[in-house]
Amino acid sequence: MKLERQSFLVLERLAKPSAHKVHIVQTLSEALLDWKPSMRISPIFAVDRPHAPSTSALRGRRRLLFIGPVHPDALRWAQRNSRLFVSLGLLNVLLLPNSRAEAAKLLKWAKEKGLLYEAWDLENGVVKKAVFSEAGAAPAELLKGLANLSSMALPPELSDAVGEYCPLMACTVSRGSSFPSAMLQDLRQIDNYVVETVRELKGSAGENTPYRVLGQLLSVNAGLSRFSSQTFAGTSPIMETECHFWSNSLLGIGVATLGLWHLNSFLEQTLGKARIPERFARLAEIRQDVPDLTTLSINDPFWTADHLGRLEPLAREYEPLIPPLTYFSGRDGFKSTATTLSAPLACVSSCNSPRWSLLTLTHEVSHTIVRSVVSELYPNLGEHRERLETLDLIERKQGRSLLEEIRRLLLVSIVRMDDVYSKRDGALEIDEESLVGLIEHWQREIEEILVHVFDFLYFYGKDVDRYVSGIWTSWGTIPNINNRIRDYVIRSICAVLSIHLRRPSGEESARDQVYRTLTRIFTETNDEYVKKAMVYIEKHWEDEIRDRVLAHKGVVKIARTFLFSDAVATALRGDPEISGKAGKKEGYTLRAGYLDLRHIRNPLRFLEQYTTSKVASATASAWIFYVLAFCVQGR
Amino acid sequence: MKTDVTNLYFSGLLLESPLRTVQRADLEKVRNVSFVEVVHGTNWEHFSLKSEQALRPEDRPGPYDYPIICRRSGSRVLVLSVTRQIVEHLLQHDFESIFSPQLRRVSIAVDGLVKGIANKPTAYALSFAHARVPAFGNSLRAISFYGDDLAEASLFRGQLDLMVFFTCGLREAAGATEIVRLGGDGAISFFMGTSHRVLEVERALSFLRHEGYLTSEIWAA
Repeated sequence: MKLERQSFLVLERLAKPSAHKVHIVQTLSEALLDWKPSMRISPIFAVDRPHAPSTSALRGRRRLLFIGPVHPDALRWAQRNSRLFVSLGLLNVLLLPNSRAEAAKLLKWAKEKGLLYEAWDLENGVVKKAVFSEAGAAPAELLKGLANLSSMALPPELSDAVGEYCPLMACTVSRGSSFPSAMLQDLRQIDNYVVETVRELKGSAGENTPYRVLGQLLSVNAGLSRFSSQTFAGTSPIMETECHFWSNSLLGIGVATLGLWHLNSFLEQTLGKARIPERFARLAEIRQDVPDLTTLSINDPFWTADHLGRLEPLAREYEPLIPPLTYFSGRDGFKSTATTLSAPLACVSSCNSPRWSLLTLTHEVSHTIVRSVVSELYPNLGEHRERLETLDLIERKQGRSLLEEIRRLLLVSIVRMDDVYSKRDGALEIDEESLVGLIEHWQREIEEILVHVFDFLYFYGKDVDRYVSGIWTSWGTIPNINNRIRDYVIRSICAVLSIHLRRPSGEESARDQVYRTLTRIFTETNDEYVKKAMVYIEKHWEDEIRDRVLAHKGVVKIARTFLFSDAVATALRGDPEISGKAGKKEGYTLRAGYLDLRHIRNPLRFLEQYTTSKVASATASAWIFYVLAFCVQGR
Repeated sequence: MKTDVTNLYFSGLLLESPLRTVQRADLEKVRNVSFVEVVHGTNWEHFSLKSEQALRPEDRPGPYDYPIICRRSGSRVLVLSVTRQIVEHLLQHDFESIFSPQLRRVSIAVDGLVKGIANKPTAYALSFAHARVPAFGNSLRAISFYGDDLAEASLFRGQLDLMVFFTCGLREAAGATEIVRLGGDGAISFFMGTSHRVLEVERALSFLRHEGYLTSEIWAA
């Protein structure tokens, strides 16, 4: 089933007679030239018909069916007697049967499969009658919980946000009855998280304050609102549910949100379940044979051991993982918070190209994990006792546990970085006050280096060319980053340095590899930022970059040795469904652009292989979302 | 026409029809394919494919005559020839017009099979295994193992967690030569010294089916 070119389905409300009319246009501009206030539009894609549907496709008496969410392969049999299209909406398969008997057969099939459906009887495009399936109800206990939450006496700062949250969640869960059960489970976990957070605030004198909870709640509300609007617009009754992503206002983008959810779900099942921050915290239990990490030879096997892999998470129950709400947002772009994960709206029609590839999300996910790790690594600077202990640790020359020794290496690295940047010759006098300033000043840079190494090792599989291309291409979408180019160069070289640490001049090998890839990117794209990065490396390696990279080396070592685990990486990057020779060109047997139901287990590896096109294409991007939404097999 | 299919190396694919039983007549409908005979003492069928175009590297001008052997079982069919490319060619160019919906590959859970045999020995032993090692990214992509019984080697068992297997060879644990090689994408190949080999292959496939290593990706209409 080949996904063919894009057309647009347009719906408008007629004044006389009072009804809706639907028609197909070939381009968005064609629709815009005759735009009416009540119009809504969505792209649709013909299947197995290379020619675009003519405007006459809906003339005469026709029945237009919407069925979903379902992989179109399940309706392959219907192609004999129906014209088939797909959309990005949750009711994703559109059919124009050639008889009423065929339409009845299709609706019967949809009912038997428990799918959502809607059928429009058309007369020259005017909708004369619409029938549709009913969405299921939300589970009673969830509604009861929301009712209790809404009636809770809360500080005034919170009551509006809770008042917004409760009906939003009730609506989302009740409309989402056709979702995979794991997705509904995620929504319930988010609900539990919200209820618990609000309850803790009410009953405790803990660290939660109304404004902190408000921030969390606003973030959940914003994510849930977008998720719900984008997913359920275009569900029954289609004529009444408008999506505010205007290029998809008729049918919404339920398939895309389902795809994004599957991608995130895979990350939860692999990286999330690996519990890296919890394993990292357990390094505090290692108190014997802890070497001096600031002087230990880089060729010592200690640096290449799988420390995290050896530390199984403790048998005790961890706090459940909070599955982030996934949604698309033009304003947030690629962004992660504790409860949300967003991708730019542009991904919906352009994710087949590296610039808008969903792989960029890995950087955001890396930030989430690294933030948790860093919270274990840094001392609590708000406490006098911990500040004194930290000063003592710097003086002591040896941590009492492996975690403490890693912290010492981090502190020593921070001092070195500060020395280099401030061009200080003598030793820095550190007291309690300057310690706080120093750590706070370098916190962001430390997190970025850890994230870049983490992303490169886990998600990019140490593939320098793909990594450098990936990050510099995505930076190319950010306006006005000229003043950040120097930092980006340092981060790129540091990430690549993680595979050259054991070489005598590893930083130069890393520089050369990064420079080589930048040269290739510039040749292909003429990107101004990339050119500036190349010039910076050419002119300032000796007088600036080398020293900065060397100062960062301790942080790179921490990420490489204590955040990376061979065992976790195997789960994250492996997929038994990948076929092909063992050489570089390995991949899936999926044919790009064909809607064949072939399973994949690893959406990241799928995206690596199929989001490489130089030209963004709505059709190719829709195919990617179809694979993510319907072909990812759980583990 | 050569009617003897022994002493040839066969490669092909395990395929499945989403809707119906695969018939011999289906295969006879393929352009330039004709039925030759049933392989002696088996349920395997031997066909001949005549092609003007070389479907593998040839050192003489056409036309060419390629042997095809098949084993049908319900909606599944194993199709093999002297190279896998010939079967891929049939799948892409000829089967499409005969089977609607098209035949699909049956995935073989090679990773599960290898790890299953390594952890709990069976009547079959591993004679070959090819694995990706995703943890090491581009630094180390793949590893191959060869031997009479790989799972007996602690070196092999000790690294199982880091490997994702995608091709393997099976032999009977009691001895003798390798019976069949299997690929995750439904690829199957074996050397047919005598016609008895197809019966051994059939038994090995029954074992895979029984143990749940053959997975279908088919939607019922």
